Amino acid sequence: MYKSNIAYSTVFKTAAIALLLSGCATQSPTLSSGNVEYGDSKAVETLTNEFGSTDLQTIAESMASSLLQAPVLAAKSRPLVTVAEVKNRTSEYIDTKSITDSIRAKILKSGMVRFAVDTSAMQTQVDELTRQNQTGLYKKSKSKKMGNMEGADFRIEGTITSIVKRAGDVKDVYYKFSLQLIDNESGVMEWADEKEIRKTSNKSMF
Amino acid sequence: MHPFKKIPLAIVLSLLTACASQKPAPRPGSINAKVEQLSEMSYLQVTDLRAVKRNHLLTVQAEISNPDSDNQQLYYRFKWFDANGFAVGGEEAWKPVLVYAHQKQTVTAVAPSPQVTDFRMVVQSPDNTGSMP
Repeated sequence: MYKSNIAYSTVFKTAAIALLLSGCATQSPTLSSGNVEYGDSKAVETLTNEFGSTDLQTIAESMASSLLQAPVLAAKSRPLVTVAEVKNRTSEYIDTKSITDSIRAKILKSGMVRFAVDTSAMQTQVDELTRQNQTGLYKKSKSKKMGNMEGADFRIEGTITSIVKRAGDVKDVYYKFSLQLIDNESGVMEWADEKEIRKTSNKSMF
Repeated sequence: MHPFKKIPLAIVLSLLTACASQKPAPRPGSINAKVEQLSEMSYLQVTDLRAVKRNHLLTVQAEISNPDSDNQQLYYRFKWFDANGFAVGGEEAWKPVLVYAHQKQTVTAVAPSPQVTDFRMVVQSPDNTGSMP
């Protein structure tokens, strides 16, 4: 009888502690099926050896920091730059606009350079000016005038190339991202840099 | 001995061991004061760290040494701060670096903005002790 009381008391205490502990845990503000998780967007991604987020991020960081150190940009006070095309000469689909957008965002954040609209955004710029000046919908004094756009001092252009080799189960991919800064008036290349990436995967389990 | 008499002794002992495991704070200006290891790296060491302003931007160069006879993988990124200690430029991507056996590898980073006056280098190696550095 005495032993049975002790056993009941132990069970009760354990249950009480478990209840208290579970009471301490707070609910996360999530609604989930349990199969989806948010991860670190800056993590090193090695799921496959195709071009990935880490490649895009490291290229953008490397090129932006190198470009900001170019003496020609430091010599001028906030020069005006535009982004021309980065040609994709690899065997896979790579959104090169996404790479140049990241580079441009990082350079703009430094406050040392200004960017003029590039060719892909020019039609939108023309449409906006036309809308403000030729539709008759806007006050003359409040509309932005035609003919005041600024020409860029420099343009950024480049290429991305790759070499892919396979030997048995091993696949080796080498990427080279090249970027140049060209003076629009003189046509002189004022700065250039490259970022190389090597990724090797092995299919064999042993 | 009564079991309750053991409790103060146990508390004193645990406090003493806690004090013994506390490492002194790194000296300001030392390499350890600028390097954050997510866990103590077993082999890799940051053996040199220098910073200079170039074109108004803080430029940092770190030397990573691998005294081991095997190649080691390092993941690193920098955190940048302005004069008030606020983070500048958002989070950087983690960058992988392969450090060959007995190699001293140099990595360079440039601050994202002229406002940056201070930095921390965050490092992680898959080969780590699991304990705080």
